[in-house]
Amino acid sequence: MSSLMVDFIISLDGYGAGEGWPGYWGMEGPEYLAFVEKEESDHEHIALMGATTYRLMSGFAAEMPDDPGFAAMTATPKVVFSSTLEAPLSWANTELIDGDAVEAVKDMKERDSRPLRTIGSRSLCRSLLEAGVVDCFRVVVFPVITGATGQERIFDGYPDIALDLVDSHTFDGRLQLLEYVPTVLEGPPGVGD
Amino acid sequence: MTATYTFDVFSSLDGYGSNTGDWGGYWGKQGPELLDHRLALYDAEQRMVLGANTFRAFAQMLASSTEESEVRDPWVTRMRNLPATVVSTTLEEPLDWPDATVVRGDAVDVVARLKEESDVPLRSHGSLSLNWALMAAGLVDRVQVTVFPVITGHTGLEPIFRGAADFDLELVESRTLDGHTQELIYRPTLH
Repeated sequence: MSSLMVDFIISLDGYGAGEGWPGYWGMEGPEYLAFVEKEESDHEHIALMGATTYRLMSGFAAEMPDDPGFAAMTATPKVVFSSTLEAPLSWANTELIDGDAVEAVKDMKERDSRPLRTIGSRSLCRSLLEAGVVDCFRVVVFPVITGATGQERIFDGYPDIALDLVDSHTFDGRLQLLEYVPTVLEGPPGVGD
Repeated sequence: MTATYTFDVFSSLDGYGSNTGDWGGYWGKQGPELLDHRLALYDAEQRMVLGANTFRAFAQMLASSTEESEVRDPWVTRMRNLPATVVSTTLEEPLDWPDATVVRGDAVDVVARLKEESDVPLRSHGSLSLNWALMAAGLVDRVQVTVFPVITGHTGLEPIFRGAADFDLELVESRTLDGHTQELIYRPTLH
């Protein structure tokens, strides 16, 4: 049995990006980057993603093969869920699964002991959350509000979910990590409780 | 020396201020630390600044409440007894509120003047559109968000920053209450 973590970086208002804002909204710091590097260099997990994230990240990895972050991702075993991409995939150590992502992930959790982690992939993450196969939901809240320019709202289309806070940490005095165990609710709470 | 203005707001992790569901007040996640902390916050001398919609919602909840209702929690009672400025073009005095004044006019002008004249800090709870306008005008010194441990993708209402501009935030304080609720206090600067 392995566990699955979904993680995102978000603005305080829940967006994954903002038009005109730099990567990490320009708010990254040494503590956070050391944390990211440590996580990326851990090759003992499997990275899960959808086709959109695959296209983006494999493109970056091809353009910047010497970047330590992308080199680490290239070395990490990866699984892409897509019915449009075609095997073989060019990015090393990447398996393509052309089928139901939820069933495949359930199967991987049964068979594999390595932890599973998503990279970006909002719609894949939404499907996995809805199906109740996510063990850990982690966000790092960046100190910006992007009411005017926010894009890629992370939580659009989500169900209602009760969260159990298991970790909380501040990086560089400004980035707030919040790690939760999610429980998807069938309907509004209170009904039938 | 101008008075400090704090925009105090409750939120789900996905940024909604309320919901169509049966979550209840505080999304059912209140605990002793949160309630004590809220009371301590509102214990200090200060003036409330409320928008008309939030004021009406409070008044309505109080009117229909029972002794056990969350709207009768001690910090809410304390908040209700603080002097309040309600910015509204439609509400008429007298208000069913211990010490509230209705002020007509543009919220930005009203609050800019209050900040000059008030001897005590100013605090607003909820009042989203009022606070978006004040944030855009650079009048909000602190944004205090209490993040309750829920996602309300299905039933969420009133995104707390949907009508806000873009801001850089400086994290001033962060604390976990009852082991599951996160309070984040930021100083906003227009981006």
